[in-house]
Amino acid sequence: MKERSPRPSAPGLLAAAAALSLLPALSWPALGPRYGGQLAVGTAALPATLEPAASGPGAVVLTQVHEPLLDVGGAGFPHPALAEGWSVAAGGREWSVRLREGLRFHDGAPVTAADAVRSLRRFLRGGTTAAAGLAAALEGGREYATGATDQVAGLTAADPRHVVLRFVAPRALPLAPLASLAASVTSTAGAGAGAFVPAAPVPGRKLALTGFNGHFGGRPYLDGLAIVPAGPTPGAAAEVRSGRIDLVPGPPGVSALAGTLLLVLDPSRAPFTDPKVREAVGAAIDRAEMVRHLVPGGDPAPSLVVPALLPPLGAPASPAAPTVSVSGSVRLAVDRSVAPPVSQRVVAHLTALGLDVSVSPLPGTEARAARAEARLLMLVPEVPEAALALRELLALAPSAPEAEAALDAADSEMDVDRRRRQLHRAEQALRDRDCLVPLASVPVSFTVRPGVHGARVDTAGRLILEDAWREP
Amino acid sequence: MLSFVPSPGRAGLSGRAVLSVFALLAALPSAESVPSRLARSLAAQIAGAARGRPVELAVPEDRTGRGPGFALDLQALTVLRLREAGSALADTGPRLRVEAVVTEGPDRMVVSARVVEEPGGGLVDVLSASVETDQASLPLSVLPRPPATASLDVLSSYRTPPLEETVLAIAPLGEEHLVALSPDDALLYRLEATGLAFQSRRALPGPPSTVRAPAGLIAAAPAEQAFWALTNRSPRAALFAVAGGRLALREEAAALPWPQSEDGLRFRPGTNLIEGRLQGVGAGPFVAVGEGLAVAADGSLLPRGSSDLRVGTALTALWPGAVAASSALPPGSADSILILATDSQGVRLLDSLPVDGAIRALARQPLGRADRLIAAVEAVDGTFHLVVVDLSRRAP
Repeated sequence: MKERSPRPSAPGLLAAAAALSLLPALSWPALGPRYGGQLAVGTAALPATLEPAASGPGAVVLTQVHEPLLDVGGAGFPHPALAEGWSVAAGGREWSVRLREGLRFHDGAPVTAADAVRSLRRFLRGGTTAAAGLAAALEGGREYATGATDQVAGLTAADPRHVVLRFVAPRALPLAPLASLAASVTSTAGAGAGAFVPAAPVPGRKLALTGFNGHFGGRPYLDGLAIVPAGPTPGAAAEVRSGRIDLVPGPPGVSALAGTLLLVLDPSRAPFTDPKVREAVGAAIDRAEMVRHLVPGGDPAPSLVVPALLPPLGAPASPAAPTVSVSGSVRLAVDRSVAPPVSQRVVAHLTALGLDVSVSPLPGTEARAARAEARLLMLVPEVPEAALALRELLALAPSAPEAEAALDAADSEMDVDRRRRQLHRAEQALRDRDCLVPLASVPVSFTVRPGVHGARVDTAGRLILEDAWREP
Repeated sequence: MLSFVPSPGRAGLSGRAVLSVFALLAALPSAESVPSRLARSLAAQIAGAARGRPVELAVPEDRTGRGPGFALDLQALTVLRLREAGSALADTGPRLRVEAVVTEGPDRMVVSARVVEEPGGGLVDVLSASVETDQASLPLSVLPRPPATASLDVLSSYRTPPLEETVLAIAPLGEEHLVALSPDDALLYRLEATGLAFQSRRALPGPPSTVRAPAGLIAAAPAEQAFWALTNRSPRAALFAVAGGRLALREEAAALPWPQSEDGLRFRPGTNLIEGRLQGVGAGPFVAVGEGLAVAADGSLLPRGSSDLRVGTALTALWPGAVAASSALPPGSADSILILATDSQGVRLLDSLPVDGAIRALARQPLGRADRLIAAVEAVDGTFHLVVVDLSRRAP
């Protein structure tokens, strides 16, 4: 078996990842990190469950509690988390993921390959895009995911420290789906292995987390976190200024350009059955003006995925003035994570075109699934990897065989440049019918109180607090 | 069994120490130094590109941090090599002008240069030459001497090239040696006239645990040529002795024996917080300890700190009534060595010596009337180097 570095892909992909690692650290830490203290973290809602597959605003808590086998960096390349590395055999079809030595869950149980396999089996039936991608690639994965069988031939624990994944065919970045938070490894009792241990929940009011001494990256600097309800509102920002809360969702502060503001038009419902109407909607929204005034730190590039995952295709053709008369009533399902001024601006543009718009604010997952003529969504990919992100978009779009074919080609393409071209083809195909209208790349931000350092947002829009510390 | 090798009191100025100071002041790169080898390599490249045309060599842009004289030395050495090779030199008329930048990593020094045609400025060639830097020998480069202050005279100031190691703690061991801790090893350097020479390395007791912020402590016993060492990655403290220029592990203990602590010092598991009770100071946790001193977790200096003066995580005692500490400025700020007066009135700032990076460890070597401060400094690129400052008190 040939040993590989933790970057699991073709030489071109390896070289690109290595080049990124040469970037110097830019901070100048006169005062080193301090251990101790707590952070009060505001979140729009406390999680109803600490299951890693749960979604919604409570994900900010789940990120602290759970840990997947690996993570995905800014360029989409996996890097180790609970796994310390991996090796590849059988011509790229068999990947052996090696766990770090001595890992423990929060409940004290050792982290074993059997735990990882059990957690990945749970993940495969979770129904997310990354899970579906992994299921389609693994030997026997598809049958297991649909419930046709309870065995996954391509997923086994070779020994207590090695998980073996056997794929139907060699693939580019086959381990990327394992970076999904929903693929986090839990103990048989449901305990996680993340940087913070949940304790003392007060349902609906507060959740305390304590630093985990056994975290693979070392004990976090903070003794603990207090999770309290607080939305991205001016009131919450005032609470940060007053010192009651240290960190809340919303700008300014730490951020990562991780989300895409997306208008989804249903071509099976009037008035969007007419391609010219869809084109007119896309041309009517002044992205640059909207970003300048309403999306601080955003990027008006009309890309379906953020530039960090896939370089923008370039400036689109100049939007032609709509030559079609637009009228009719439209229901617009709005993801609640879209800032109200932004959704109001979009509604204003649609109204100016001649549409009568009624708005239904919905939680993110419900807005995605809503049966409405139009949906305004904030799409933060489950895994920050371009192919998986485009597959999430594929699920939102009407039938797009060209995009699907390009994504399939990208999955089996090992050369980094040729793979990028396939991904661009897929993106272009998704945009061609004007059903998916990208409006802006949007930062996921958290306001941080002065004196708190080390908090960061990753390219999946997750708040990472294991390196956070506060000045004494 | 917990044991401690007693540390002697402050040594007086010995003739050897005085010689060492003056030798350092006079230190210049030797003929076979890194700059000399780099100059030879660069000159060969320039001669190849010039093909007989006259050459003008501008003073290279120095990004090594080796001090203001370094770039001039490199230019002079390169010109010398060009002359030896028979190259024509000119600073007027038709010529090739060489504009170079010199940088340094942990194991190589690199010079990159543009060769442009003068007059006109058209690009003719791009050159690059590099040489290995010898980590076994760390020459000290002279740094600009800061102006005298009301309380201090800085006699001289030097720095080493980047080290290969992350430095957690440093301590002189008599006049001849400097010991340092990296996250996994104890390191021994010999103090020479022109720099430091690496001598020996020994692994600390294992297995090492994973920590986000490695930290270390050294309790030196110069009279015994030995020192106790502990890091927060290592489960046990270790006593190392210097024998024949090498480090030898003599003993292990559950805690680090410390002169003012009956039970010794430990790191709180997984953190850089030091636990233990210090006579005259009190109980921890501390983030730094010195002779009869400590820095509390909130950055106040104990036992007589004031509430409005905070220091960082590096600390060492100076002459009676004075200590040196790193600053407590937050990330984004440049660090300084703070010289603090401690007396019955409390703690007050005497002076501040800026450094090019973040101070991670401080140590003091007595030189009679003068003191030598040694700082382990982390640069913005994450590499470490040592800064040596010889200073003396101003008479009141």
